Amino acid sequence: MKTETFVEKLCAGDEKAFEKLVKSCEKRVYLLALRYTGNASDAMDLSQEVFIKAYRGLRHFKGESTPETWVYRIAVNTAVDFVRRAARINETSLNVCDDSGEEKQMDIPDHSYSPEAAAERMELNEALSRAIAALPEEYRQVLILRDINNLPYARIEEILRLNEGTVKSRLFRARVKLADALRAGGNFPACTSSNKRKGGGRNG
Amino acid sequence: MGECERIQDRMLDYFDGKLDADQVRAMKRHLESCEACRTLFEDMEALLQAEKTLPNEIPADLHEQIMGAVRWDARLARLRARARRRAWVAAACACLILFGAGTVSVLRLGAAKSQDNASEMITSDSAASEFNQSATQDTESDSPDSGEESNGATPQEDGDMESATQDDADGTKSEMELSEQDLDAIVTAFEADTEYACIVLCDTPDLGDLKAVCGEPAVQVEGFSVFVLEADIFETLLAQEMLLDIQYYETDGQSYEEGAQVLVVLRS
Repeated sequence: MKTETFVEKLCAGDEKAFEKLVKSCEKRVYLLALRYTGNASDAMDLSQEVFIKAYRGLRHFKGESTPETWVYRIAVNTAVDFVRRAARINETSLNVCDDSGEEKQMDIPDHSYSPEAAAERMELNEALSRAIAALPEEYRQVLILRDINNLPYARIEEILRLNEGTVKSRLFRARVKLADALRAGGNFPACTSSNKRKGGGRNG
Repeated sequence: MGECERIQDRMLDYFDGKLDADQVRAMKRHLESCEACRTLFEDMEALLQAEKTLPNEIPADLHEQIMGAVRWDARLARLRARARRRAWVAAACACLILFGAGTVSVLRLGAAKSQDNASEMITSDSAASEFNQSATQDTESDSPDSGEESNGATPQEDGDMESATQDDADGTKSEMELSEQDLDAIVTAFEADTEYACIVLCDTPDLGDLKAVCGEPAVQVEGFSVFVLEADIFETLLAQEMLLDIQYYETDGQSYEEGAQVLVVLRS
């Protein structure tokens, strides 16, 4: 199917065309949501929200980017909002706790979005998830699109409307920050085979 | 430090597999002698490995869940559109009848059956309201629908309306209305920091049906049952005529838009 015709159909709200679009991005959107929210059920909610928005906004899609890029853009923005909203809720409940004088330590429920979001995973995975959640937003976006969604740089540039230099430098800094955070956690780089290290006995 | 910078610039490309053999050799040579860069390199390598082990199971029903949600939302949108169209028609009729009357009701637009115009009119500076209180009075005798229609569109106009003080001109408190105290009592029955787009007083033809959709009322205040509904659900109920004889009361809370919440107060 010619891309032009497909886009035209999309803009007209054609449901079959939209479903095709969903099929082509849903996995990546879900993975992005999973990294942002830290749990499967919220990732599902978030994914649904993204495509609902996309469908509602079809008439605003002008075809200036590929449909997938347009959806990923919605996905990133929605994920950012989602996490921000949840963080606000978290803050509020913290305050309530404090005001009532309870000594309760902030108990992290399953759907918490604080960097301490818990999961039944390996320690490193937990640490990594926490560190990703703690990244400044502009680093996190690039990292997730590249390392989780495996999108090509050109696509990321399109989605985030950044130039190549910015994308790459943010990605680099994101990875460095993550690595630092993990190293500070003490169990890193546990998975590096030690024979890769050369000389000069360095302590981790 | 230029060398290190250059090598670090290269690292991304290395992990992307984009360096040629010479470049890789040059990089590795630098790493042998530069501890800072080597640490960085090893960290990054380990990180990429770790990222590969992050959970990434895609639920088997992902596609169904997503399409299901999109279709449901599209259906709600159609219901909303239908409710708006009917309201627009009623408003257009009302305007024709009373063009130039000059007074506009801000707070109370309703199909209250037994009140005269004077007691319901509230003058305000609202610029863009298409509704006139007496227009609603005119149409109220037709059927319960008219109240629903004219009020269905009210939320769209909310942006232009300021909240006026509620003023019952001849001082009668009818059971068809909520007094200032009732409104206060209702609002304070909820969390202080929750915001509502508006309060709606209405009837329902079938309380059992309504409860099936909305659950039990959130609270009973002054003998009224009060439900908290999302604007979406509220409009769906309007469209299905499960809420009738609507009277709107403005709040200072959220503006009426997607995701806003509405307090629905049942008369009985």
